[in-house]
Amino acid sequence: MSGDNDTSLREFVTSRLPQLRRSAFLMCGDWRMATELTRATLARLVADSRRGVVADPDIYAYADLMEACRRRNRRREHVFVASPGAAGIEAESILLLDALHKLTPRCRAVLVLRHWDGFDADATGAMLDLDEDQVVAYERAGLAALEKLLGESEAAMAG
Amino acid sequence: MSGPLNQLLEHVLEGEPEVGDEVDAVFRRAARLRRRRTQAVLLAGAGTAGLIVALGYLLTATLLESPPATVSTGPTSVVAVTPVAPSGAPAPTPPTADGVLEVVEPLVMGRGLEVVPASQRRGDGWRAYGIADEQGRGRGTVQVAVFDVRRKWCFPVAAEPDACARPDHAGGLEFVRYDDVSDADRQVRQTVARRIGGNRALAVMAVGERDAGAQRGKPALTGAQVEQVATDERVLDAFEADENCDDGCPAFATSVR
Repeated sequence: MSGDNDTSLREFVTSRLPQLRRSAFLMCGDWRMATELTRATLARLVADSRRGVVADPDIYAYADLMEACRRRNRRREHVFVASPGAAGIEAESILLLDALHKLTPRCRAVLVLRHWDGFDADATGAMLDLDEDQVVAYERAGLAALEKLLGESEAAMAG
Repeated sequence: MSGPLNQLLEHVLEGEPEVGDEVDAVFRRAARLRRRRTQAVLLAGAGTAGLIVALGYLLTATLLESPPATVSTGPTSVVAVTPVAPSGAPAPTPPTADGVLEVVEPLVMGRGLEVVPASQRRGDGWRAYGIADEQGRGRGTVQVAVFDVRRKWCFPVAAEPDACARPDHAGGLEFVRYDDVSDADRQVRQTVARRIGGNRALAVMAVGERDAGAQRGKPALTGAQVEQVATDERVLDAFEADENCDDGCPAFATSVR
């Protein structure tokens, strides 16, 4: 992707924006914040691509977005914030979001990138500045924790 | 749990808002980001340039204010060499350091006249300045000369070569005025002065324009002003110690020797 090719940049932004925003939502639980973070990430990607300093736009975009979500996560107060005018979501979804947000940000990012966005361990490591073994370890720990949290939540709901 | 988790997450994303004009918003934001970065670069450049200018100014000011390098004058390490002027050559005083002119010129200008720069002449022990009025017409000259005299030298009397004039005193100097304005076409104001007990006599003479009538024949300085110049120690000190008006010396109305 050359810095002066606005057409290919626009195509990339158009194709990646929805998926990036969904990943951001899974990370922060707030559609408004997810939209804002995604917009900022893609704006930086466009500006830096025009300067010719972006080697892999996917790695750049997801790495920037995950880092932005990690920083914003510290100020998060609610598990789920729906988009304006949208209906709420099912209780099971809220339980899942709640369980996700009880994980550490890095652990959550590994699960989102691996199981929602479908990146392999190598690409996920590049996005989060981890080696492959660390990605596998985070993923294993995250899935175990998530399974446990979901089990506890379902038991509480049933009880 | 990869498969189930993927499917579970799909349900979480229900209620996703429309993308709308988010793509355009991304590009607008990218343009703003680019402008901010450009401004930041320009500001940083301007700041750096300002810093360089300030440092350059400080460095230059520091270097200019530092005292000139000095050479140790230890008796065994340095031998001072004084350049010797050729015999009869004009005194080596630079034109801008004419101490005589610094005394004469304000008095001339105070009378609405001016020293003509091109007319200034100087030699060993003497200075001469041509004077002009506001219309540029010649108003005579002012001549100043210093003479080596014997300790027993006395002030001359114009009418009697063997007689001595009784001098007046001003500070550490003694002087005699020799004014002669009886001839309208040759009006002269002259004073001869000497440091009391000294062996150098200073003659100051203001002569009006010759044969130009009584008005233009008036000397550029009054008798009192000529006396003032002659008894101003700065004038005597303006001459080098080895200067003596004996070669190409202008003629004075009353000869000193």
